[in-house]
Amino acid sequence: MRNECYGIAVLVLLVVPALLPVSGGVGLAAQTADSATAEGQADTASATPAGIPDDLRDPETRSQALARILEVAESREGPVRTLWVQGLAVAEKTSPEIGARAVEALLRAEAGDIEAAAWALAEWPGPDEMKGDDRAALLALAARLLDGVDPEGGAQLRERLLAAHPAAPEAVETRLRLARYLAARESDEDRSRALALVEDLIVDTPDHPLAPEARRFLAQLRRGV
Amino acid sequence: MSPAPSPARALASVRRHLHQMGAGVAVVGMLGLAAGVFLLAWLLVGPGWAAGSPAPLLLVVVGLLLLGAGGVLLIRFLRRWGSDEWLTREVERQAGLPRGALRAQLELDRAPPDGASPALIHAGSATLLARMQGPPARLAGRPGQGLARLLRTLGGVGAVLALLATGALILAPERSQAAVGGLLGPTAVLAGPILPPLELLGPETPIARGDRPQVRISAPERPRVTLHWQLRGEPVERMAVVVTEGHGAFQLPPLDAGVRVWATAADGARSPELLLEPADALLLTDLSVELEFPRYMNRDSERLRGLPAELEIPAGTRVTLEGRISGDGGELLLLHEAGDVAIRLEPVGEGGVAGAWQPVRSGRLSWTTRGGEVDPLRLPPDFQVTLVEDAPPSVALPRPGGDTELPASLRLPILLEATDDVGLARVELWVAPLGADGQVGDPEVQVVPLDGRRELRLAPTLELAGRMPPGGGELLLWARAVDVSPAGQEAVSPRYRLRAPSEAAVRAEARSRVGDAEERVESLVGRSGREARRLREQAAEARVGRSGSGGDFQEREAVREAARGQEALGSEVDAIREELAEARRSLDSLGDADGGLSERISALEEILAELGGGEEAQRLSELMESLESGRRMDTAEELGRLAEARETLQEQLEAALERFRRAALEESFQGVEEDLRTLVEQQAELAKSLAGHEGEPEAGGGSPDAGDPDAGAPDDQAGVADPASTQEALMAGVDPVRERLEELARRLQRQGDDAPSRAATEAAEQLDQAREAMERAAEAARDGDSGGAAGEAGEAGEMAQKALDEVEEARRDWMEAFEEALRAALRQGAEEALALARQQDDLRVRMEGVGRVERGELRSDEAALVQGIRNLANRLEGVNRQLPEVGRELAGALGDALAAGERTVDQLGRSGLWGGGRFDESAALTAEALNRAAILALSGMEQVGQGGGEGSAMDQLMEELESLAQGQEAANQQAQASAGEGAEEGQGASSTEEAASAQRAVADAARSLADGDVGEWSPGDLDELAREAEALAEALESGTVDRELIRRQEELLERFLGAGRMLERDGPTEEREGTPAGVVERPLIPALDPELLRDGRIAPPSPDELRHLTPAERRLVLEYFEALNRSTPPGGAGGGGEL
Repeated sequence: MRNECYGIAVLVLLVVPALLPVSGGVGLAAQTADSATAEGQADTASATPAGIPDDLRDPETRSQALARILEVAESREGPVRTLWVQGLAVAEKTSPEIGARAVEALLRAEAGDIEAAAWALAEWPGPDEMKGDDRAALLALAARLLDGVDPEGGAQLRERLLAAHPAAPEAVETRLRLARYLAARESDEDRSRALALVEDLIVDTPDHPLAPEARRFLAQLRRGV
Repeated sequence: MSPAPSPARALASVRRHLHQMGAGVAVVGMLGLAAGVFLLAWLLVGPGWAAGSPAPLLLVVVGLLLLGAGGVLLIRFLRRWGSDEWLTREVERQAGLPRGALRAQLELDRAPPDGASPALIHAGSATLLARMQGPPARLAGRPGQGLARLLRTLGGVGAVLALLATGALILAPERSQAAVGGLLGPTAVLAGPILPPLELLGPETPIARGDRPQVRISAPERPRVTLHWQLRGEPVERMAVVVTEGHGAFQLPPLDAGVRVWATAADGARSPELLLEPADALLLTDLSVELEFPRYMNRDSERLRGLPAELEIPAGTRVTLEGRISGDGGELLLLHEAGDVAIRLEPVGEGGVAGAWQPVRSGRLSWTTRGGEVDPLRLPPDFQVTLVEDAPPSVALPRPGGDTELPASLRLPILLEATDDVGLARVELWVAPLGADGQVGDPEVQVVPLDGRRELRLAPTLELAGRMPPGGGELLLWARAVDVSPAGQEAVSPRYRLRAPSEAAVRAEARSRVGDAEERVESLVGRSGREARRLREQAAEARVGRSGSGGDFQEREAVREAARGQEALGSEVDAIREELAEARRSLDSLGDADGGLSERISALEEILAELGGGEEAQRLSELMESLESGRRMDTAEELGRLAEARETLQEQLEAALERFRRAALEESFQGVEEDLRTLVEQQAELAKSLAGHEGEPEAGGGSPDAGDPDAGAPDDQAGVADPASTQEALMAGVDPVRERLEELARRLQRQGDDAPSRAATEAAEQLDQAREAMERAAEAARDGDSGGAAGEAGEAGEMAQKALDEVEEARRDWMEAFEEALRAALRQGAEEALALARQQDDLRVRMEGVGRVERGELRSDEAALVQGIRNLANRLEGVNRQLPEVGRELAGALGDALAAGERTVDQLGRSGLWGGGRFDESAALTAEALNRAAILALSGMEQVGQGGGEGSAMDQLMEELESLAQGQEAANQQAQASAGEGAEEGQGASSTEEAASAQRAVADAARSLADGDVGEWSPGDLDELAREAEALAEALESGTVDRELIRRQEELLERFLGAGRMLERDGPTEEREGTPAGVVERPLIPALDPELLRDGRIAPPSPDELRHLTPAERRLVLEYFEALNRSTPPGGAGGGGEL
């Protein structure tokens, strides 16, 4: 029930801005560069959030593209803002192409095609020299997109992330979320697995910001809650 | 067997006893008589027996008479009483025998009558014997007793006389000797000749008081006499005087009073007494001298009693003489040697005289009188007056003691010394700018008033910052001293030139201060930690022991001490900051040439400025006021608060220490690189110069300049006057750099940077090799082997260059590792902030429509989230220390998130019937703040990439350029190979394709570099290089391989290499000087000697010839020759393909 409510909220929050006039979004329209473009200038591909991926790919416009991602994020609210900040993080720390793919997924999700965007992102092979951490970032973003609409799919992606990139920065949260998903299932095996995941998290990273939440969750699991 | 006792025998023993007693009396009597005679003679002899004196004879005669008489009497006594008749009567009386019994028995024993019974006779003897018991002394009776009494009497008298005689012998041995001599030779004394009397003669002239009069002695026929004298009130003294031919002389001691003098001789003669009285020689008595010194000397006047023989006085002194005059001496004058009157003493009062004058010249002064009769002896002696002129002062500056270079701090400690024989009025310290044109600017002077001190020694430190003339130049320093004399005599010290510190010295000093600051901060960290622990203990003790909130005296004192300690720590932090500020100010003169050092120091200052300020300082100030005013306070609480303040300060200092350590390491790197760079350049210059020396003597006459005496050699020779000394000087500079390298390696290892530490150690080893090569070069230079020296010097330069490369690489690696660690931390931080933001988003969703029970769950989940935010803040603390600006904002965002999260927790915990409400807003703010934190962390990551990032971008560019150069080199070789094989059929085309392909790859890479982000920092025009590469690729692709293309390829390679070198050395160096272009004489290059091409190949230079070149240059030369040989067909020059 909880996840469904969340998914609906994400969907609404993603869809509504997509239906709005192309600009920086709710509340920050007058403050974004895009709004200046939308007011009077010719609408070019690079002047819309949709143009951000291409700008990311172009070395000359990459910096501006990153700034625009930030503007988009600030124009969003709630979980959507967090998603866009996550997208900004992916664009910052990965190659231009990977960052562009991530933003494309976000835009596609905002347009309503969340599952397709998430799976396209997760299944994208990427360049041969793609680093493991970059792949993990994409998987984490894809899994987050699926949280609201396809929890099982999100869990699958998280399993893949942990299997392929157990040391990635996203791995700690991935364990916790996967553990929550597994714990919500009725299977004892899943519960045991969830317990193991949370215990491993606490043992391996006791000082992690999510460790307090993990300890609390572990206590709940042990109580059988 | 002893004979049987008998009365006769008993009687004989008594008689024997009496004889023994008589002998004793005789001996004692003789001894006593001798002693008595001696004593009488001693009493009568005086100093000696007078010639013809009968006394000794009389004494001897009397003594002998007495002796004889005594002897006769004694003998008669003994005879009488020793006879049988008298003795037996006495024995019978003593034994109580009837009278005649003993005598009868003796007769019976002696001659028994006929018919007498022997037994009866024997019995009678026995009976008598039995009654004659007792010692013979008892049986001796009256005669025995008389003798005993006489013996005792004579013994006592004799003992007394002997004692007296012994005393006389000891106390007056000479007299005793004279007495005995007379007694032993009385007839000689009686018959001695009568000698002439002794006479004494004193000085004929009056004896002046204090003089030593001479006494003459007349003692005819005597070898010596004894002179006796007695000063009034003094004991008698004597001295033996040898008489020669009847005359002798003796000088008495100085006479201050009357003296009696007489002489005696061994013959007892005595001279009449001579009385000598000293006469007063001085006319002037009670003479005193008063000296009044010149007023400016500020010296009290002096008074002397008496007039010294030498009077040394300062010029201008007024001399006043006072005394008493006796007799009529007339007018008393003092005269100069020239005879002019110096002073005339005037009568003053009754019998007094006085006079004053101011000597104007040195000289001897003598007394004289005018009018009146005065014995010259009565005048005071001459005396010398020496005038001492006031000498000018002296002043010196032993430190600096000469021209010197100022330290980087522009603070120069000096030593100033000034002296004057009378006194110094003031000392002045002058500093004036000396412009580059030699003009002395307006000086500044510091005056030190002295008020007459004779000596001054000052050791101040001059602050010269801000006084250096702009645009170069020097300062002049000198000192001036002025004395107190009315003329104001002065002295000036030599002028010393103070050169501005070299830029390297200024930077090195500033870096050193950064290192010092690091050590001080580290010390403060330890100290504040210890003090915090101590205060905690004191607070705990106060809490346990206190009885009220007022606190006792000791506790208040503990608080006071702790507060003062806190102030002291703050002062020390300020002091460190001030030191850094001073270091930064010292860099002002460098302008842009400080390499960013000023900014880095400024950043460290800002770190320290934030420590312990604000609220804590205010609280401390209020606490001190409370302590001073005696207000009541909770001492335990205050101690706890102060402990907390210490702990906070310790944490802040630890955070600052990390930055300081990093800054100190960075400055160490910079400093070592700078020193190595200078060493490399200077070594290269020396090697080049040595190589030039090597070539000169062999130069032929081909050049029109060869005959020009002003060309070439003299200038070159002037450049390196003594190569060996220059090399040794450079060698001496290696050790300090090596030490700094080793210290750098140690510090890096302590911090866990193993790879850079190893690189630094390796650089130190290479520097060792450079030093060894320098040593060989110096030796070769001393031996006159310029070629060898040049080679070794070149090798030393190479090794130094390797060391520099190693250090630069180590620094790049170190910075990259640090930046990468920072980026990784920020990346991780961003990810974790986002994870928390997502958690908050999930919780917000759950908050919608939540009931009371679920709110409890949510509250716990939210509390866990808040704890997670705290964990994140702790994890990012290290990043905050290294990137303060980013850290500040990041901490602000996390702080906001924490505050909002705590509000959410609080609001979720409040009772309420319905869910939702304001906690949702707080949760939204929490998520927003976490997103902001993530964004800040991401932007911080960018800044790390950019900030040091300029370096890493430049490093990347350098790598790219190096790669391009390598690619171009390969393309060149391919093209040259293609051109060389052009004459061979079937192979030229494929080689050309390969060359074209290689060139195309270079063109593409160059284009990519020029168009990329890295290209923004590229020196020169990378775009132009890319175009050139592309043009060459097109030419090769079209099959064109000619000499021009090869030349362009070579030129492109040089441009790629040049671009890389420019990046490496991107700042100005001190030694870089621009000189205007001059006329370049282009000598005619003759044709190659055909002999060189005899076998179709041109021999490349030998290794010795190439030794002075760098490796890159050697490679180019060898490749050139290879290409030359490839292009030259066998058998002759001038032919061969396109070349």
